Amino acid sequence: MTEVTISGTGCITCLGNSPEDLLAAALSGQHGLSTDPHLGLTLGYTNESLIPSLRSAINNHPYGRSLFPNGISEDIRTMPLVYLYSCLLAAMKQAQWDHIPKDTGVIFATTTGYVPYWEDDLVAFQAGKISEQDFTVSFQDHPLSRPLDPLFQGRHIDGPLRIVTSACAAGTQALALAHQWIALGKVQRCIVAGTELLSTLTIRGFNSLSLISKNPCAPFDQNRDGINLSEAAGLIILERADLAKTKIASLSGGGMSLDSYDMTSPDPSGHGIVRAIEAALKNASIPAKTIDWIHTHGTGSQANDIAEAAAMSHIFGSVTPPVSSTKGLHGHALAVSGIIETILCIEAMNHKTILGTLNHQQADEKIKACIQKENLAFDVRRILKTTLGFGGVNAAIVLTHGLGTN
Amino acid sequence: MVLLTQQKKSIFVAAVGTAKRNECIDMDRDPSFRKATLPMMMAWQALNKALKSVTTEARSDDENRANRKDWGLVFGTSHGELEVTKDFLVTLATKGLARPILFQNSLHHSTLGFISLKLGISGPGITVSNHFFSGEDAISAAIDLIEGGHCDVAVTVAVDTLVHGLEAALGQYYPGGQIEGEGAGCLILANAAGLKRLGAKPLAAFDRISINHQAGIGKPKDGHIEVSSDYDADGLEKIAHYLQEAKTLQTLSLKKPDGTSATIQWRHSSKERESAPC
Amino acid sequence: MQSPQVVTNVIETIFDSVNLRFVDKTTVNENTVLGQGGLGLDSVDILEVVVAIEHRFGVKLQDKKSGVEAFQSVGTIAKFVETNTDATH
Repeated sequence: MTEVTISGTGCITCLGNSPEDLLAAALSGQHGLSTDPHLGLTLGYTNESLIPSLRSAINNHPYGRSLFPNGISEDIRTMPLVYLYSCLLAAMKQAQWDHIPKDTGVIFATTTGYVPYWEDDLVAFQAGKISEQDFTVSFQDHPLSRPLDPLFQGRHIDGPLRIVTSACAAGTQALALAHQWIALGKVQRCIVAGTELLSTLTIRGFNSLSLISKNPCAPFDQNRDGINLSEAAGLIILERADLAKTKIASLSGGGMSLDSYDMTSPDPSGHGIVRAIEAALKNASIPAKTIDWIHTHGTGSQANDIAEAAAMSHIFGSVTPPVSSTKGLHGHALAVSGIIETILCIEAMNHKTILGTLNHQQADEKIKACIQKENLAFDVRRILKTTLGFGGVNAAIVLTHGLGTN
Repeated sequence: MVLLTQQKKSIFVAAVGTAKRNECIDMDRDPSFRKATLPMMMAWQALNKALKSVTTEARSDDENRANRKDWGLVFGTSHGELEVTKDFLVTLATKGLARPILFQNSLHHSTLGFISLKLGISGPGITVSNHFFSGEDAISAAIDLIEGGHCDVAVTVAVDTLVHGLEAALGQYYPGGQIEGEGAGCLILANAAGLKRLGAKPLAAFDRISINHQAGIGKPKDGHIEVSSDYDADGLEKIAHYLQEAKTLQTLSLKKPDGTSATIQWRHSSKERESAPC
Repeated sequence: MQSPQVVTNVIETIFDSVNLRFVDKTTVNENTVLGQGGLGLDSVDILEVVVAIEHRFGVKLQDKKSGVEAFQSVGTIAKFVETNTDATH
């Protein structure tokens, strides 16, 4: 089986704007969430005051200049581009790419795309406050593929493009698909990326489903009362192992399933998640007992945590490997969650640490899985990462230790 | 020219279906469609036609859910549930009400959840949204799932619907700045093992799907049909239509409003039908 | 026993909010439960009904627990509406 190497990563999150910053915050237990006094909800915002310097760095970078010959403009709507391409340049540096090689594909994950920039204008247009022409201009970025245009229209990349928008599982699905693309020889390399910005639609929408907590979330805790939405951008470079100059970790395989149970709540038995995990383990050709750490979706919602914990108990028995969720640090970045959490997992693995579950005090009595509360020094070799999404989607990937530069 | 998919082993088209809006009037008379959106209803109509032409018990929507348990499901859409998103945002702005059902339905991905529930499909499921290539990428994703060994049968559906009042905004990339098209297409794809389980004779087998991100596709040759898109995700509906029409090796080029294009090649000969299992 | 007019208005609000337009209203009364065995509404439907009832009658649920009790049946909703509407006068 062709080995797939993770050779570069980049991220912009409420917790920090590099994988190193993410890890440092996680090790010190410093979260990046804030309670919005107006809404009474705890959310994770990125630091917008850094955008000018991020933009300037792209515009002054040799490859950034070839991607954006006229520079990225200062329009507020360029935020997704600034975030995405900051992540790309950081990952390329790590992977020792000075340009994107031939035979590289892209799989991009997002649920809302540019919604934050046109949702108010849609309402204004419907109310007759702005013209059809003005709304048309505002809506020009509606295609979810929009942020990838500089790469494809500018002929910087020659491989296939897929945009996955399977709700919160999209990022992990993108990684599973990218693994397959490389393993089966469809491409030699693949960029997996995503952007997700907070919007009125998502904040008020999730709140209408009584899913958001006023406080930082407490995954698997008996007193948990909801999730914290956050925004983020993340990017992972995957390469066929023999081609990679840098090796951060290996992506060993992935699996997917559907619950076919409910439109928004997961099947509490966890059976759907079990099937995704079994598919991932089979795809990676490894037995469950080689997993050292299970990094879950663990949003802090009543339903999610019960279902995931049940799945872990089913697969791993009465004594599971340490099970944790880091959403108390960085919140739930919807489609991008699988990407930034994978980045955090491999940073921790290379730091010989299993990250604990911030804000978790006492497990819900229905939960039998072994929830890891504190950070733990451990020589991690294999991580199982799971992600769930609306519509009953489940995705799981296996990450394996691998460190060094060829 | 970017190769989206070229299989080593044959992936067959077992059935096709297409649907339009006027087939969905009063569908919510059936309680299971009470909260269904127009894209969900159109997806269902297209899918139901495809299922009906499959010759085993698996075709019925209620019977034999167990037969569909390990099927895969891919949904493609460019602008998804724009009408429902508009309703949610406008109700919020004008009445201060955040309506849960509207939000639940507003995701691009909600149709996939709906179909999965309705049919009992619990294999792998992906929603894709790649603007003009949403239909083609849905097919490519379904092929990926089968080739990757995740399922033997994959249902692939792509839908885009018009939203009254937003035709100019949606059609800004189309000639004349207006969009008039909408529709739903469905293909049921399977490998040899999946075809056997379905008890279906294949309509065709895909050879390759490629995407041209730059304008201009060159001169079409004999046996090569070129058509223009009339809505973003119509690649799948068009492919479904031509698969039913064509009898020999075919190349279909789908020209997109911005000059880019997708080219799909398939084998559709009696030879293919004879060599397929069952 | 709640006021017939309030019960009628509650039924109408429920029907509009979760699209029961093809259900025969004459089969629904005070005793009809929202969930299984009655209207067959799921948890998201019930959240929708809460939003609609709060808006229509100008009432507000104080917490989740009292909400679960108040939104069991048409009758319990009517009682909740009447109690909270009276309290404001």
